[in-house]
Amino acid sequence: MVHRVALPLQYDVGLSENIIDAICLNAVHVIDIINLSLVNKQINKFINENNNIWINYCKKLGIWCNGNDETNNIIDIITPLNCLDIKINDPFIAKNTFIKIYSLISPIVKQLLIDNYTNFQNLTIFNTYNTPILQAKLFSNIGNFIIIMNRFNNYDSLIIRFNSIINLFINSIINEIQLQLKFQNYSNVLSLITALDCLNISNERINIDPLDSLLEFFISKYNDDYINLLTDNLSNECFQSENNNHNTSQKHKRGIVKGYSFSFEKVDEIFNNITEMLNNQLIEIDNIFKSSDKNLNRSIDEIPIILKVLENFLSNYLIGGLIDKIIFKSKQIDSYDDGLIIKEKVVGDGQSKEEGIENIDNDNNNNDNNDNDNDLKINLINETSLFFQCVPYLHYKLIKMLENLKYPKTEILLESNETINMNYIKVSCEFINYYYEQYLIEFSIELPRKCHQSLIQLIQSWKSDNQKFQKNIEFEILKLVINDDNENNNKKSNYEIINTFTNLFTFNNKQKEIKDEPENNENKLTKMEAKLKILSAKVESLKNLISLDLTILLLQHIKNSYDLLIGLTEYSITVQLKKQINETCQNIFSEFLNILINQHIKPGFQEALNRLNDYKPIEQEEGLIEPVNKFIELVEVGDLILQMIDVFYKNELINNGIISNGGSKDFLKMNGIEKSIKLFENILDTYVANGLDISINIIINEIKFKIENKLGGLELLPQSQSSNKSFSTIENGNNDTNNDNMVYNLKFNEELRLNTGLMSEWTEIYINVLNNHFKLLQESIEKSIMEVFKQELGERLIIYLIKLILKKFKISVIGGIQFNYDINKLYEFYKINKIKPAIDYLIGFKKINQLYLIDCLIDNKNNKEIKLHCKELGKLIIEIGRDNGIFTPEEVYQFVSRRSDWYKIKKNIDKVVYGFGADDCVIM
Amino acid sequence: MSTNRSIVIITSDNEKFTVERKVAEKSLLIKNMLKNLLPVDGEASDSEDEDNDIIEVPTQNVRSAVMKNILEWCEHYKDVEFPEEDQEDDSKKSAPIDPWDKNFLNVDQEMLYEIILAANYLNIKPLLNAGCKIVAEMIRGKSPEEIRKTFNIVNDFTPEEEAAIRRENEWAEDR
Repeated sequence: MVHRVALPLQYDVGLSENIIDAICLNAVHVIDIINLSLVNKQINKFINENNNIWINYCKKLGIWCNGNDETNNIIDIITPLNCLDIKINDPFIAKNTFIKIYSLISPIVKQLLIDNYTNFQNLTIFNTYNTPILQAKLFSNIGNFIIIMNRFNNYDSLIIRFNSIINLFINSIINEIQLQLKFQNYSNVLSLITALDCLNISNERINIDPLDSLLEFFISKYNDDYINLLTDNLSNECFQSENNNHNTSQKHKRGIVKGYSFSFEKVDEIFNNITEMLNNQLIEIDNIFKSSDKNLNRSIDEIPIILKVLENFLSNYLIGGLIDKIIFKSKQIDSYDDGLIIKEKVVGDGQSKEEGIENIDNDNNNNDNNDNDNDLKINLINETSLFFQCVPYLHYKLIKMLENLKYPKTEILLESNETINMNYIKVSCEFINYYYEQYLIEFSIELPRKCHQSLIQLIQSWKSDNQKFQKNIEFEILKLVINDDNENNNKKSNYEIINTFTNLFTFNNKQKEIKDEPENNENKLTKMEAKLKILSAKVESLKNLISLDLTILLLQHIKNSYDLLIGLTEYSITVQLKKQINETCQNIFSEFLNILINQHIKPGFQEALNRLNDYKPIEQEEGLIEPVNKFIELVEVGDLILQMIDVFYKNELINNGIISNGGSKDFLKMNGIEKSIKLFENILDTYVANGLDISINIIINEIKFKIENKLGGLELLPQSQSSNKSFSTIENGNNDTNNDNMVYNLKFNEELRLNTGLMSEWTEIYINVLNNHFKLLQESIEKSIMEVFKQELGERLIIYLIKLILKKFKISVIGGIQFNYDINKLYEFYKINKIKPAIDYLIGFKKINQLYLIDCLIDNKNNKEIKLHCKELGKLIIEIGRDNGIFTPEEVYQFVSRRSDWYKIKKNIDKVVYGFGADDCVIM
Repeated sequence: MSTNRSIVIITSDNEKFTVERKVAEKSLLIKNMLKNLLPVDGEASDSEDEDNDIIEVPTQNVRSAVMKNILEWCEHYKDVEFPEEDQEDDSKKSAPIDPWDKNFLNVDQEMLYEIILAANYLNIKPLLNAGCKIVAEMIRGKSPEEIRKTFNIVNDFTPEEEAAIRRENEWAEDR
């Protein structure tokens, strides 16, 4: 099937309006449109009445606006200078406005770019427009006007000509600025800058950037001031050869690496010069812009100039030039082959590092101030590396310098109409971090290694028992704390951290004052240190096997490293650097834990356990409980160290955001550092358990020693005493007159100690020693460990009690009363201390005690009565034996055999208990 | 109906040109007419029969020689999307003529005239614009009389009228 699409039939004969419109919009020159309009009446009418043609031209000139910002009805006041600043939106004035602008600018364009190009400076228009600002405005309008000529055949040459004129104009302004600056005519300079600011041309074929030209001018003007920074001499002067300096004052100078020292004074001097120079430049720039309050609409102000000048200086001359050379040189010297150095040295100084440190006190007194200053900047970490000496110090100097430059006061108008002061310091310090970042990254990579070395060195020095060195270390901690505190008082600046860092392990003239005022020092401690100091005060008297002070020092060392790293990146916001720094901090802490545990805690506790093991209480009369106390104190120190590490971890790593995923109590979710801390905790627990085990032995030995000192040894009788006694007398025991048997072998009620409310002496010793230890331990060790400790100790002492009864005591009926009293006292003691298994034994002893209280030999005459009583006793023995109590019948029998009258009643008892006696046995 | 479907364009002298739909649709006039009659993909294309239908577009005002040129232009630009007129920026409008267009429109004046008229009628804006650029080039620097001569236009002004208009336009004189 065929479909037909019917198109409309109207078909203009001749040129339709559409076509004329299109021809006009595409006309090359406005004169072509005018000539076309003269062709016939129809076209003339159409062109005159078609506003689109003229609106199109207004749009090209940028004066047509669709909004309400129009400045209509101003045709009469249009001049060549303001003609392109107006805005219209009325279609009916488009033609006239365009004609006005065209008739104003087109003749100037013709004069300037066509007729008199070679001689344009002498044009009469420049008599009218005779100041740089007026000329700049005129040039801007010409530049924006000639856009409508873009399809002229000669447009390219017009553009080339205009570009050369405008560049010439800018150059002459810049030259004039230079001249006027020379004569310090700052207001003239400002008006020239304003002229540059007026050059605002949006023609894409005209490539000028007046601000950029101005910045270039300032950069090149000041570059001459910097050029000497790039000479090799200057960077070389920052390193002094120490090979030939062998006078006494130099002998023990710290921080010499491979025969060279980093000259902090030279760097200070260089920075002082730079600061003065930059200040002069800033003052000059400030003078220009504060010379007039007019032209507030000027878009160019001192901010881009100052920042550009600083950035250029920092990136190309200071950091990219001098500092780069210094750091390169430092690394070069650090990596010198030692052999090479020996050859280079005229005389080897032969001074070992430790010797150097030992003699620092004397050096400080002898050296001049410069050396003292230098020593302040040398520390344990950086003394063997010039790279480590110069990277933080140069960074510190850079930041300090930029902080203290004499910036002008520039107000910035915010969108909210508020004005704020331009923060030059912040931006210029950001430049530093941007351009200095490479050295900081390198530094942060190297730092953990250096930190590791110095931690090891510290621990080894501590171990080496070098009293002088230890003293120095203690002093350095205190001094450091004071420095910290002073900084707090002075509203501590972030960069001061670097001072803190450089002050670590250094010595200065304050030393004497500090030693004179130890009390004040404690008052001056900063928060964290104070906390740690309070903890350490608890164990002040302790002779350390592990050292709280050393740990504080190590932690402080870590803290300083952190502060240094974080201080270095104060103005840096790069993600990569932040990540790097955080990782470095974590690694340093991990390494610290590792070193502390393996090199200090473990050896310390091992030594403590060895000493405990070797301890023989019998050889010492006095202070028997000392070793256990000491061990407990040591545990306490360990615990404090653990707490300190925990506090440090939470304060410095978690709260400061170095670790973002910390704080988990679930072992599986812990990070590496938390696992290490947990490991530390476990190691401590293990040592505590081992130590307690040994301590139990010691306490038992102490009790044994003291009791047996009173009662004699448990080996039946000492040889000397038993030598003149027959075996039978011992066996009978009746006539036994020595002390041990007298404890319960009493004949008269008057002999009972309980008459005066006293326990037997051995019970007193037993309870007193235990009480003392329990009290001490209760305060210092964890409850659960204490429970285990008590149970273990209690149980082992019951065994000793049984031994005492079976081997030492003969118990008479009257003595049984005292025994009963003693057992009850022990029972009370165990009950108070909740030592359960031992309580069961004591309940057993209470029952056993009944066996001693039955008097089988009343008046010692009536055999029948004796038998009767023995029968009673025998029944009781059987009863207690069958009781399923703690003791077996055999054990009950053994206990009853400790009766002092046992050999007299044994026969009768055996008959009751076994149904026969010894007499019933016949040898076959 | 597929956009590849052919359209038969019939000229005033009854010559038939079969072209792809998208070629024909370079003419906004034809495109709008087709839009009502034959919806594009996914709309109403129910039967095969419909696909086999023949669409004829008679253009009684355009002779075949002109249509041949027009369709050649449309074929050349069939895959080019031209911006809507409102969105077209002014700089592009006044940009120099495209070299291909310039070569394409290198025809005798009568043919150019007819192409412009046909492009205007069929509403092919870029072609109209290109044609007018050629015309604008042709009138460049020419006096009204020369323009009249070039385009064979009769002057209907009296000398007085012409003088008055000239005075009015003195501002544009090359001073």
